[in-house]
Amino acid sequence: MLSVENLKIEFFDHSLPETAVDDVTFTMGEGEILGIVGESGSGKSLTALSIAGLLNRGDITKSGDIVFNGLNLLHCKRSELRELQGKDIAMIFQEPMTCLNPVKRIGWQVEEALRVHGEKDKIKLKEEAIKALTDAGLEEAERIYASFPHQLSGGQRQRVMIAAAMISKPKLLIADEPTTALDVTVQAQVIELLRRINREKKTSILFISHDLSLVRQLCQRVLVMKDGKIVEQGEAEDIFANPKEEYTKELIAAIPVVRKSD
Amino acid sequence: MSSKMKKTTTNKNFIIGFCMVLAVLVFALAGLVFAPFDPEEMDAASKLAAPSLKHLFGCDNFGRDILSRVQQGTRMTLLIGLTSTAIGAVIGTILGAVMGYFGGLLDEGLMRVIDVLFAIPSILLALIFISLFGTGTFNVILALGFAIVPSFAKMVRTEFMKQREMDYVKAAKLMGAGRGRILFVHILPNVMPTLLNCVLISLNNAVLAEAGMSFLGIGVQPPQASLGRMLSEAQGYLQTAPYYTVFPGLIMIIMLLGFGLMSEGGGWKNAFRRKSKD
Repeated sequence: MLSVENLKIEFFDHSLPETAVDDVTFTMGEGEILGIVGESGSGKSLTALSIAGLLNRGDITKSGDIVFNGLNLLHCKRSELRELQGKDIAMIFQEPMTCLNPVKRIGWQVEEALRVHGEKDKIKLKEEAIKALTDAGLEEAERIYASFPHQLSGGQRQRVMIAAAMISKPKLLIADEPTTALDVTVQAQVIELLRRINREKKTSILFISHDLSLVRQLCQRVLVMKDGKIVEQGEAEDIFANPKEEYTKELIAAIPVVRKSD
Repeated sequence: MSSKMKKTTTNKNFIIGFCMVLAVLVFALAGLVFAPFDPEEMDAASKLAAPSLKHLFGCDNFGRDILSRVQQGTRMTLLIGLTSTAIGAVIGTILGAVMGYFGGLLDEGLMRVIDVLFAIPSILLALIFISLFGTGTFNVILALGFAIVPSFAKMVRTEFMKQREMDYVKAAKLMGAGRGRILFVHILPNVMPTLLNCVLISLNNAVLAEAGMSFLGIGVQPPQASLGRMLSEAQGYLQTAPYYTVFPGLIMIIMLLGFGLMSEGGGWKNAFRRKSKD
């Protein structure tokens, strides 16, 4: 469904070009959960942003191919890309505090993806939004529909983001460190929600994180990235059981283990 | 504690200012219905007459009723202030939004032009405009609107530069929203509080600039009245008929102070802010 080939991202904001993502190649099947792990600056978020078509700056060049359902996202027209965005590809971000517009009601923001893609019927929009909010595990969806972002907690906001992303039933959901800013109990709930979305709606999820224990819980396949390159990829269980690369071993060794003190 | 106290005082400022402006507005609009005399009707017998029951504010050098003329003049001044601010705000906001959001060469180029315009005092800018296109109420509005554009563009540009990096803009882009929709539906409401304050300050400046231009004789042309025009006509009679200067001046002071208090009192943001949960 999604295949990324020889993706290379370079920055030109200094005198020397800087390669942030180098020769990244991977594929994703329908209904699959793929994890990308790596330290800060390893290029995992840039890879995600370029798949989502959000990396359109003058000082960045991208080469390679990103093919989604037969359409090359790196070389297609802007209008074709926009047709996909919000409909077939959706994304949730790291900071639930800033990714909601502070002056708009939640309902309006959840409906936006549908509205942008041509749905005008207000009653239908509201129905869909309430349904999406409920599906994202928010109780009192009616009240939240009429709230402003500052009236919600971090976990609620992340659920709202998931509702907004899922309202148009995308085929691919990109989750860029969706749990990093949340506390551990809420993290577990969000992971559970993502797993349920994957199971019930058959949505493929590209899950980006530096938290290996979460990746292990959620993902079927894993990519390990370092300095813009993929160092290892394979089935999650294989990688965690017998990592081949030194870097992967170090990452796995760094997962904190809770021991009882007795 | 202190923040709570501060909030109530700023609210008071805004409300006092609002009342002052409202009073002037009511006074000016009442003239449409209750003006005691035709503002252009001359009466040689009551030339420079002192305030009396018949002429509450007295009469000017042509025997015209000052009360009626002040009412008409205030309407004219307000009309010019509002329309020119509206023109400046709309053009400035669009320019600033595009510059701030897209950045790049377009932004650099336009910014240099605006910097140049910024270096020239707005009244001088308006003067150049008038000397090119001639006098008249309509040209005064255009000239002042034109002079207001740079400050709006600059302010809105900064705000948009700040907002464009926010995640909610990214989220909107990802939903497939077009550029125009992101600029004016998603970002603009976030800029509103600053923009409304800017509008108030600009109203103040426009009213003052109109008065200045009319005082210099390049603004509103006689026999039409405006507050600045009346002050300029009255300066020859300061000693014989002080009321001729006092009343238009007083109205103008109340109006300017009103706008000033409104913008200084935190404006909209503080006075009509929704109560937050905490």
